Formats: sequence, structure tokens, C-alpha cells
Amino acid sequence: MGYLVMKFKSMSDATARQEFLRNPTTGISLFLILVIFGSTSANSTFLNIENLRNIAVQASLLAVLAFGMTFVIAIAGLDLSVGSTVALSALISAQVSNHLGLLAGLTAGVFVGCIVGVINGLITSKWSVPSFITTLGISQIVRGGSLLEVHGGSVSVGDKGFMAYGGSMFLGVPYLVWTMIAAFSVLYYLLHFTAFGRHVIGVGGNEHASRSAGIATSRLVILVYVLSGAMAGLSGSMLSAQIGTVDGSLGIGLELNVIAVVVLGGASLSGGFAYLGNTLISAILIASIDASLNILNVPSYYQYLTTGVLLIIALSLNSLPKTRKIKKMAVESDG
Amino acid sequence: MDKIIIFIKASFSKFTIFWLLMIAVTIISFTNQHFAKLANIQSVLLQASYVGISAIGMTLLIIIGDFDLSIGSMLALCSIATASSVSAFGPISGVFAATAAGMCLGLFNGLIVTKFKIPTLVATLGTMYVFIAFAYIIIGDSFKSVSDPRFLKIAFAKFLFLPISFWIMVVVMVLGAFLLNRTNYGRMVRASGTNRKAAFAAGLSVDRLRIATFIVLGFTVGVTSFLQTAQLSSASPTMGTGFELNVIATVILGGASLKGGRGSIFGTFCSAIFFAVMSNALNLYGVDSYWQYVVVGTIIVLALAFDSVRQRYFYQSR
Repeated sequence: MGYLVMKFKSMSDATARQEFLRNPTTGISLFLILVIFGSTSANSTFLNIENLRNIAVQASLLAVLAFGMTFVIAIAGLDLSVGSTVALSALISAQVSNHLGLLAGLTAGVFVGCIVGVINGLITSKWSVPSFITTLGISQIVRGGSLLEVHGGSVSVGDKGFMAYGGSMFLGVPYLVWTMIAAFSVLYYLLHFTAFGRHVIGVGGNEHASRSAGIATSRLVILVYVLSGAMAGLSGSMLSAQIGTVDGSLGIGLELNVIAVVVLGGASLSGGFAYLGNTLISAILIASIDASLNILNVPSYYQYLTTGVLLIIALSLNSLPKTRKIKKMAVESDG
Repeated sequence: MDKIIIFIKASFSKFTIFWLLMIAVTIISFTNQHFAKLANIQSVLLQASYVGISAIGMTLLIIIGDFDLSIGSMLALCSIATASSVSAFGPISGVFAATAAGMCLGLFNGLIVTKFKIPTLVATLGTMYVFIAFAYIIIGDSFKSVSDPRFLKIAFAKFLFLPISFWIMVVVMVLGAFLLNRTNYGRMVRASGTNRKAAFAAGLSVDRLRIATFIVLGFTVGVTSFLQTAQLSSASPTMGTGFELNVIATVILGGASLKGGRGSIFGTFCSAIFFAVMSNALNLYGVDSYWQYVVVGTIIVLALAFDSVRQRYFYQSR
């Protein structure tokens, strides 16, 4: 905190200050620090190791989904099917792990997500249906599929290994959080150090130009949806291991939550930007707010209010200075 | 003869959903003897009006190039307003409370979208959370029931054998079509949806039009909430869950494009009835209710895929 203040004061240039303030990382980091300070001063149990672990696990489940969505939003798409995919993959991974163990369960969960992603990608890119509609329709189909899979009932996780994966720790950190860190590292590498990552940003920035430049855009779009589906599948398997009993109505409305996380992280819905680090911070922010409301005994529905207000404030802060600048420019060019 | 063929071809491309509805109704009424019974038709139309009335408001908003994810939460808040005022001042006040609440929330959405320059999807996602939070804050995790018998009668009232809700949907459709096709407002909405910058450059106050359209949608959601509260005889925060996506799917299947500029009120009307018919038919055939999700999702994807492929060939062949 002190470092940030010093850095801020050292900026003599007004535009540099404005840039610093408008940088999405600054905004959500400050919010996160505020939430942590506020809830710790209100109730010191917030910094208990148990509570922090709980926040980390909740943030990991959300962040893994949001990583996939970050890629989809970077190519100016949306994936509304992740909520249903979480349900289906949670069921499948629980069932498979009951017969074949942990690794098979995880693989099956991710595989299910990939299949949903392939379908989303094929319909979006080959039939050029808007992704909003494709994934909305597919989410209905997958939801129906997951309810049919168990006929409206539920599945309990019985496999010891799978349960241990969801509940135990390595070096004091839950396995679920390690999984998230691994996913983050792989995706960070993909985004920043491979041609695939640069193509994603390129296609999001200008699809026609990218196609003219020789990028196989439709294959790229399919790959991005597969990635998002795989992340949804992974998150579903993690959730299944964590809560132990899963049913077909898991994750209803989750997709909008995930989009909120990515957008809070500073992504633009018109594509061309991907900030995995911000997505992670914003997932931690949302999980911390939930946990602190929980600790302060505030009814859980206040978390809707904080999410909504955060979204509106964050985005209006992003756009207000910009619009003033643009207006000024427009006036100048008119004159 | 040629003229008739041209007309049929044109109506196929323009009113795909109307013909889809006709085909579905014909097939279902031949294969199932319960479908064409009066009581069944009444229940189908009642179900259609639930989504249809709001979908007509949403059609205008989608034509102008925006859409609204907050209407599910809005429905819950409006229903709470309806239930409170009906219990306090009688049924007539409920109409005013519902529509006034809807229009205020629509105005709020419109102001946030236009004045803060937030993309519609994010802004209405934010207000979706805010509205539902207020619904919970007002009545908590429970529900508010209404016992006024005159109010509850509205849900079951019939006029010319058909439910009042359906007639209200027809009235809203006629008003919406009039607004869209016969007034300056409608022309400006289409213009702003087709090319927002050009409309702005031509002197239209696009922001004011968008706010007005958000208010129109709020009004239709208010009407829906009034009827829905009467039918359920209670209001609860969860009553609008998933409503927004149902309404958007209905509008899109009715031929509107999320890019704006394209859409038809009559198409939306047919599409609302089509969804109700399909879910009713699945019930009549005794299909597991979970299959309904699959069928509805498949219809959405296939209809839109068909539409976009057809458009691509249409533009290529020109």
C-alpha cells in the first residue's frame, strides 16, 4: 500500500497519474486491499488461515472458469454455456471417478467440456451464428443433458482419491488451488509466449485483418471455445471433488457471474484484450467479498448488490475520463 | 400465379417463424387429439403471454441495438411493488404500481447505459445484480402473497374464450407494431439500430431514443409482472430467474438480429406462441420435462444457423 502511495506521489505528470488510475489492475487491486483491510478491522477472523484457504478455493473455482472466458471475450465472443457445462462435467467426473479413480474422473470432466466447446466453436465459426445465441442454445441442451444424466437426482463422490483431491492440501495449500495455479501458468504461457496467444489478440482486435494476414480464424475460434469448455470442465470436476454431492441444477446463472469477473478485470467486450492476472485478482476480489459478508453475518444476497455496484462503478470510472477527452477532441476538430 | 409464388417465397423468408408455427400446430393437432381442445389452447396462450408481452418491448430494444439482461430481476421487483400496492390499495393501483416501477427501472437502465457509456451487456448485468439484491432486501428470502379476490380473478378471466393475458399481449403487439412501423419514433429506432453513428450525424438524439426504448421495455415488464403476480398470487425474488434469456431467445427466434436494425413485432409474437406450443406438445406427448431444455436449445441453435446460412447465400447470390 505504502509502495503504491509513493509511486503515485512520485508521478508529477498528470497524464501519467491518470493512466495509473485508469489502469484496470490498479482499480481492482485497490478494491481488493480495501476489502481485506475493511473486513479484517471489522472482524479479525477474516485473516484466519482457514478462512483464507476457503477464499482461495472459492476464488480458484471461479478463476478457472474466468480464465477460459477471458480468452473467449478476447476474441469478442461470449460463452453462456459454462454454467451448464460445469453441471454436466461435475456429474460425469463424479461418476467416472467412482469407477475408475481420480485421474480418469478429472480427464472425463475436462473431455466433456472440450466436446461442448467443439460444438460451440463449430456452430459459431462455421455457421456464423452469433456466439451469444449459440452458447445460449447449447447451454439449454447441456442443462437438459445433465438433468437427464441423473434423472433429476444427484451423484455422490465415493472415490477416496477424488475426495482427497477436493479436500486435502499440499504444502499447506489445497490441491484445488494448485490446480488453478497450474491452469494459470499454462494459459499465461499460451497467451504471452505462443503464436496462438498473439492470434487470439489479433482476431479479437480485427478479424478481417487477421484473416487477410493468413491466420486460420475459424480454427482459432473453435480452439478458443474448446479452451473455454475445457476450463469449464476442469472447474466442474474441481467443484465435484470439493462438495462431494452434485446434481444437474449446479451452476445455474454462473455464466453471468463469470462474465462479471472477467469484465471487472478490465476486459473489453469488443475484444482484443486479455488480462489473465486481472481476471485472477478480480476472482479473488469476488470470493473475498462473499467471505467477508459471510463473516460479518450480512445476508448472502448483499453480495449481488456489491457485484452489481462494483461492475457499474468500475466501468463508469473506466469510461468517464475517456468520454470527456473524446468530446473535447471532437469539439476541437469541429472548430 | 407467379405473383402468388413470389408472395409465398417472400413471406417464407420474412416470416419464417410464422410458417414454422403453422407447420408445428398442424402436425401436433393431427397427431395428438388433446392439443386442439379449448382448455389446452387457453393454457398455451396464457403461457405464451408470460414471455410474449416483455418480448415485444425487448424487440424494440434489440432493434435499436441494445438488450437488457436485468428484466428477470426487474420482474421480481415490479411484482413486489404490485403485490404491496394491491394489498394496500386494491387491484387498480397494482397496474399503476407495476408499470410505474417498470418504467422507473427502465429509465435507470437507460441512464446508466447512455450517460456512463457502459456497454449494454455489462451495464444491465450490473443492474441485474442490483435489482435482485433490492428484491431480496425488501422481502428477504420469503415471498409476499396477495389475497385480494378481485385481483386473483384477473389471471383466470376470459374474454371471447381466450385468457385476458393473451388479449393484453395482442394489444401490446398492436401498439408495438404501430410504434415501430407507423410513427417517427419507430423509424428513428430502426435508423439508430442500423447505423448509430449515421443516425447521430443525421441529427437524431440517439441517447434519448435508447432511454425511451428502455422505458418502453420497462413498461412491458411491468405489465408482465402484474399478470404474473395475479397468476401466482404471490411475489418472490426468484420468480424472474432465467426470464431474461427466455425473452431474448424469443425475440431472436422471431427474426431480430443482435446487431440491431432488424426485427419484427409480429415475428416475436409468433415466436412466443411457438415456444409455448412446443413445450405444451412435449408435455402432451409425455416427454420427460428435462428433454424440453434439449428441444428448446436445439430449436434456438438450428433456427439461427438456418437463418444465417440463408442470409449468407442470399447476399452471395445478389
